[in-house]
This record gives sequence, structure tokens and C-alpha cells, in this order.
Amino acid sequence: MYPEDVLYLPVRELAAGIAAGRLSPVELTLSYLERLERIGPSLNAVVTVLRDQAIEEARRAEAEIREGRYRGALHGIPYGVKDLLATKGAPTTWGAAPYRNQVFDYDATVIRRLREAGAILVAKLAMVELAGGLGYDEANASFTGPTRTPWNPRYWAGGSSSGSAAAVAAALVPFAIGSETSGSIVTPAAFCGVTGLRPTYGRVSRYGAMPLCWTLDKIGPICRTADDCGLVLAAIAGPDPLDPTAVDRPYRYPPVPEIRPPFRIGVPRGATDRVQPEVRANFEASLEVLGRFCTVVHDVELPDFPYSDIAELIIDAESASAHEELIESGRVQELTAPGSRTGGYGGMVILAKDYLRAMRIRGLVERALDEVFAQYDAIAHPTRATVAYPIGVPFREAYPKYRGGHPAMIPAANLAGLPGIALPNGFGENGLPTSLGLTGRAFEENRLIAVAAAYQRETNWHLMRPPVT
Amino acid sequence: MPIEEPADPSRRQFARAMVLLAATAPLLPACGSGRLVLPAAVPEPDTPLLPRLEDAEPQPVSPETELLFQLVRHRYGAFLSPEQLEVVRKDIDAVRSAAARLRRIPLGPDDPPAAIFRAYRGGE
Repeated sequence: MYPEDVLYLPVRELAAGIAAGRLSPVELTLSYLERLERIGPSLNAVVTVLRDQAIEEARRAEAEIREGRYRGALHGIPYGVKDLLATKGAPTTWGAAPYRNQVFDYDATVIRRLREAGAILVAKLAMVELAGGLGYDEANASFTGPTRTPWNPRYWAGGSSSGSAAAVAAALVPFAIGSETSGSIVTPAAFCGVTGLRPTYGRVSRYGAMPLCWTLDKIGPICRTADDCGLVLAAIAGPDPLDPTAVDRPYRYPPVPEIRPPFRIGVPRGATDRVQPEVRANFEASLEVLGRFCTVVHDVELPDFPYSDIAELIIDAESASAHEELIESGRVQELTAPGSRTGGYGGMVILAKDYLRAMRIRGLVERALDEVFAQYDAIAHPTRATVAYPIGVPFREAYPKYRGGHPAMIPAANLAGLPGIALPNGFGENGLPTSLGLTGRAFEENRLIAVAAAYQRETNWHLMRPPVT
Repeated sequence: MPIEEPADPSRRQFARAMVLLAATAPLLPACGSGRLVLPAAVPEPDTPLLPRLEDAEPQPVSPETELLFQLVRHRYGAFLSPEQLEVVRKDIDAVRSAAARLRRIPLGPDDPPAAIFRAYRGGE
């Protein structure tokens, strides 16, 4: 078994060790499996450990590398995946009791691409039931129980890619795959103190992923560093005949030519209104760090739209349609969270004209936001207004004073399909991490990664380890 | 030109019920404590036993919300407790309020939905 010092290394460094023959994919896999099985249950982070399959894949990878057939940075690297991606022969539960025995006979495109890159799937990771699409107001919203942030077990890991973020934070895996409709990668990344990248809508195929909202769903990596996010995104991005929304737009990492400072960063007016004091202080400290290699422009005016209203109406309508059979049958009552059992019914009676109006306004939103975002390498903001929510307390009662900065960046960016990255930038109350958010223009993931990687070269928040052993 | 029939007949019935429901709006109570009144032409609901709402505490909502709520109660009431129905009523009201806010944003006929349809051609 490898020691913690190895298991907390970024993918980039693990890959260098494997390529040089210093690290064994089999030993790495066994080491992460041991942590998944020993620590995973206490965090409620894991749904299924794929021990036998993972060891077999690791042995194959090790043999290939030994024979000189090295495929690249992910070859021989273990990883976990949010349990909403179809995985041939293994349960894919969508975090929901009605689907706990669901097994697909095919792999999601993302799983297939990672296998082709030589990565080793070691676990299906916990998630909020149905990715939260039918609504929930508490951490206990999965048939596997509330996932705990490794920084403080009395607090939630965030959702809906809960297990993906918690598993990376506790070094149960070196990277994981999550998905985001409106906040489900960046929120758990923030609450668990890891780095999460939400790609541009259409950058990554959703074939084999549970649909929540066809026009908003995105799949992306959760890693220890921004640089790792680029490595993983390069393996999973690209067009796919099985998903017509996956765009044929090349993605290459590292980018050629390299994207170098100085960068131009915008900070929206009101970005720190109604956020916790520690969130504000850590964000301001982050801006000072960014100021070493960026021009920081304050009080940027973003277009004024009711972003949350638009996003919620679209998500409610599409998620009710996607899960219509579950709602119609009444089996929605088998879900864990009381909010999930009732949340779909409102979506069943959204008028078509209201849905279409929201989608028409969405066209205005994406054009208006692009005009602003085109002037900056990134827009910086606190990822979340608060640290992680306590388990056992309704979300609305957790931090009622702190409703978040203006505008609501998560729904705004998701409506427009814009990429975003969340990276740890300090700690707030109860020893819980806070997070810096960077949001960019469509298809500018590499610009965000370049800014984030430069920030992480200047800081060590991403190297901190939570108190789990 | 022939009009294509919906693939699922129950959807057609559902659509007809919606139209009739709108036409009978004045027959419905402003605040839901009574059973939904439907004209005889509308098929009986699949779930005839509607839960009692007397024990829940309905909050005032708009007539439009009430109409849509009665539709939910009509179709899915057998699955939901009175307390859950009250939650649903609030959810619908929240959506109606959001929709009302969206109506304040001016749109023209040349502002299409941000969704792209592409004609399908197999094998390409």
C-alpha cells in the first residue's frame, strides 16, 4: 500500500511516477480501493466499489505500460464516477431507491473514453437522488444517506455530485467525474475543498448519463488541481454521434500555444453582498493573489435578468418530463427526501408557453453575457455564499442571512452554458473550506484553467488534507 | 392536410381535459377545499379517491395556481397526502410567480427559443 503522501498527489504527479516506473497502477489501485472500503462508508461517499474489475484493469494497464504502450497521463490512474453514468454490468442507481438495482448493458461515452485513455474505474460514487432534479431541501437526499464533507463529518459534502467531491477530498480516488445542471459540480467542489470544472454545455457527451434537464446537463471532472481538470477534460471531451448536443470543437490540453499571464479578471458588482464574512475575506485575499498576475477590474456590471427564475422554470419542466414515468406511477414516493417526493408535480403543469418564454429569454441571456465575458479571461466570484450546510438542518434554515452575491452566478452561467471552475481559497467557520469561482466565455475552459493553475502555483489551499485517515 | 393523431391517446384525453378545465374555470373554488368539478365529457380520473384537504392549511394562491393545482390533485391526488398537496400547491404558485416575472421581459417574434432542432438523416 502506498502512503497518504502518494495518494494525495495530483494526477499529473501520479502519471509522472507511473511513466517513470516509480509507481505501480496495481499498487495504486489497491491503495485507493482500501481507502474507498475503509473511509468511504463513514462519509457515505460510495455506492459501489468495483474491486475485481478495477484490479483486472490495473493489471492490464501495468502490463501495457511495461511493454512500452503508454497511452498518456491517465494510463493506470484510478478514478471514480458519479453514479448517474451507465456502467456496463455494474449497478447505476442515480442515487435513488427506485433504481437501486438498475443495471445497464452499455457504458456511457465518458466511461468508454476514460477506459480508452487507460484510466481505471474503481468506484461508483454517491449522488443526490436523481441529481436533485425533483427538488430537495436537506442533505439526506440519497438512498445511501447524506454524503459528509471530509473536513467536518457533521456537514454536508454538497450536491449533487456529492461522492465525487468527497472522494477526491479524502483521497479515496485521485480524480472523479461529476455532472452539473445548475451547481452540481462547483458546489460540492466548494464544500469539499477540491477543484471542480464545469465544462461548456456540449463540450462533453452525455450519452449514458441520467438526463435531468436536456438543455442544461453537463459532465465534468473533479480533481485536486486545475491542471488535473484539464488532463481529464482532454480525455472526455469531443463530439459523439450518440449525443447530438456534443459539439465538434477541438479541445486540447495543455493548449497550444500556451495561455500565459497577464490575465484580465472581472469582479461583478455585488459579488460579495450577502456572503459569510469569511467567504468575503477569503475572496478578497484571492483577488490580491490574482492581482500579482492579473489586471483585476472591479464593479463589472452584468446584465440584469431573473436568472434563478429562468433556470428553475426550465429545470422544473424538463426534469418533470424526464422523470414523468416515475411521477405518474407514484413511485416518486420511494425517494428519500420529502422534497423529492413532491417536487416533480409542479413541473407537470408548467404551461408550454411559459417554458418557451423562458427558453426565448435564455437566448437573450447568452448573448448579453457573452458581450461582457468576451472582455475578460474570467469573471471571479465566491463559488458559494457560505461554507457547507449542516446535516440535519433544512437548507433554508442553515444560513438564512446569507443568500449569495449578485447576480446569482451559478444559474446565470449554467443558463448560458458557460464553463466555470471552483477552487479552494481558504477556510471559514467550523473548519470548512471556502471556494473561489472563475467563470469564463463559452469554450474557454483552458483560459480558466490557466488562471486557476496560476492561482494554485501561488497558494497551497488545494494541497490541504482533511482530518481523515 | 391531415392532422396527425398523438401517439398516446391518454395524452389527447389529458389535453382535452385541460381545455375543458380552462373553460370551466369559474366553476372551480378560488381556494382548493373542494373536489374538482369536471364536465361529463371528460373521462373519469385514473385515481378517483382524492385525499381530503381539510386537515392541511391552504395558503391563499392565485386563481391560475388553483386551476393548475386542481389538475395535479385530479391526476395524482391518490399518491399525495394533504400535507404533500399543500407543498405542491406552493410549488405551483412559485412557478406561476416566476412565470409572471418572466412576462415582464419584452420579447419579439424574432426571439426564438434557445434550442436547436436539426433534421435527422440516418447514418450521418
